[in-house]
Amino acid sequence: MIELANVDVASPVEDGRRVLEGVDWRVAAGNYWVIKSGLEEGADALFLTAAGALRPASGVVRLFGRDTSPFNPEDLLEQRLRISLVLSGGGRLFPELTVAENVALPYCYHRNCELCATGEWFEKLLAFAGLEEWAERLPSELPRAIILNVGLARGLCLKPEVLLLEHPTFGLELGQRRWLLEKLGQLSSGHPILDGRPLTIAVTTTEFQPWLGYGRQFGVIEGKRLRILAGEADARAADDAAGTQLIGRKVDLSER
Amino acid sequence: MERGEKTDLMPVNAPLVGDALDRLGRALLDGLDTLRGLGAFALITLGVIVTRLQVAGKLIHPMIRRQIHRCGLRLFPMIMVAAVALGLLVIGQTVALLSRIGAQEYIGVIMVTVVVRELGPLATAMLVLGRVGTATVIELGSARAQGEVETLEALGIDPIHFLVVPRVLGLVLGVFALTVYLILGALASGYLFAFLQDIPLRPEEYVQQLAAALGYADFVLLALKTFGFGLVIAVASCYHGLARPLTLEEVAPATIRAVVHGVIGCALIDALFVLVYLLI
Repeated sequence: MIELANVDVASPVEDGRRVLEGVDWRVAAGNYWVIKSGLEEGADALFLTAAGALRPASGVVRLFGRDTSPFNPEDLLEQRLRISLVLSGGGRLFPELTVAENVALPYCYHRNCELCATGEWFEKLLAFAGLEEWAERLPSELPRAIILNVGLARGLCLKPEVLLLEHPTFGLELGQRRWLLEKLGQLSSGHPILDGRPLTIAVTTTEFQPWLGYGRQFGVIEGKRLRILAGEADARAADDAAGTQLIGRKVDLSER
Repeated sequence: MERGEKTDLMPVNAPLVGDALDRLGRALLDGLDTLRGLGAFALITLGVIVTRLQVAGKLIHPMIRRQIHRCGLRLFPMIMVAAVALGLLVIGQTVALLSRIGAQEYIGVIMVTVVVRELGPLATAMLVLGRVGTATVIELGSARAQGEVETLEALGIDPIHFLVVPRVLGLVLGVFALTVYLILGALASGYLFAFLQDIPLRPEEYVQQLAAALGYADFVLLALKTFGFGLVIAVASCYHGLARPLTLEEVAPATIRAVVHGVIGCALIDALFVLVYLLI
């Protein structure tokens, strides 16, 4: 579905800067990737590149088998709309739009409809994300815990085949984190909201621990490189090593 | 001794001159760079307007209407106050002088020359720049600082199409419409002031003077000039708000830059049209 071959990832905000180098990453149908990365280590740029929204500094990006390098991002719209990207901070909602309008925005833009005329499926989507009672509120009126729900619903509104989430659990309370993991688990194994089709998922996280048992493929961004891990045991070891490095002794992260 | 003094001064003065030249050179290069950026941004925006005006029309067109309302109708009361003030100002300054030399028949010509050709469009542009242009920079700068542009790109939505096109069209049409109303208001209030000063000028004479002073070229050039002002204000505001990644602290300086560049751009367009009026 998504393939990055020897890609140098460009910074989205600073011309000429490369935030990641030599990235080889392949996302296949049904994958559930968990990539460990610091907040400022280029996870957003990696996902923007993987979603076809940001040109790579060098290397080849293929979306659904199509090499993207000869095209501008707007020429790849058909491929890009099959991939949904939810950036950190709950997808960064538009403050002047209500929750329902935020969720419907990409659908209305790409399907040419008015923001208020979205229909029954959107009500189901809002219900799936637990947003019925918040639909007419502005983002500034939402509790922090609900903002990610809006970002997730907006990410699903075009019924994507791949969902990329940048640091979705960062700063979340335990209950909200559990809610998200369960929802992503349902989507990954096929949920009626996406017509029962299993969703391919990739997330970035500052620690693997919450994702163990959910994620199926793991990677780490360190020193401007993406390192693919062999499996869950390696991910657990990577968390242990980070904990040891942080506090100077071995810790059991599974206690949390 | 004299020679010695001169030699002592040299190391002090030389770096000062060098610094001044260095600063001048940097300012010139920065200015050219900004001009290039503004030009490129204007061309990209015009390209998007031409090629994508019908794309997502049901979503974008209501946004354009909202911007026209915001840049036009909501500023109407303020523009009317400015129109009355402008009419009183021009007539107040000129009527006494014209009456003294018995040349009241030139009131219409003066109103057309001063209000229709010069002050009307320029005053409207400055008011819109101060009221809507600054708000636009702050809105877009904050949106950029909070990552809304990256979000739009992630959603496959063209940020120029979504954020800039409605504002540019709103400002261009808003400046045009408000200029027309400001001119009408100033001409009417001008006559009112003349009437209150007991100037022997009947309304039909005043209208005839105005009609005689106005040519077809005035209407065409007025439209072109106001569209030019609107475009300059819109491009300067949107460019400084959006073209570069900002932090929230950088939004205020960006607003100042937008106002300065908007004023300079409008002054240059005005100068260009003065030349055109002199040539026709």
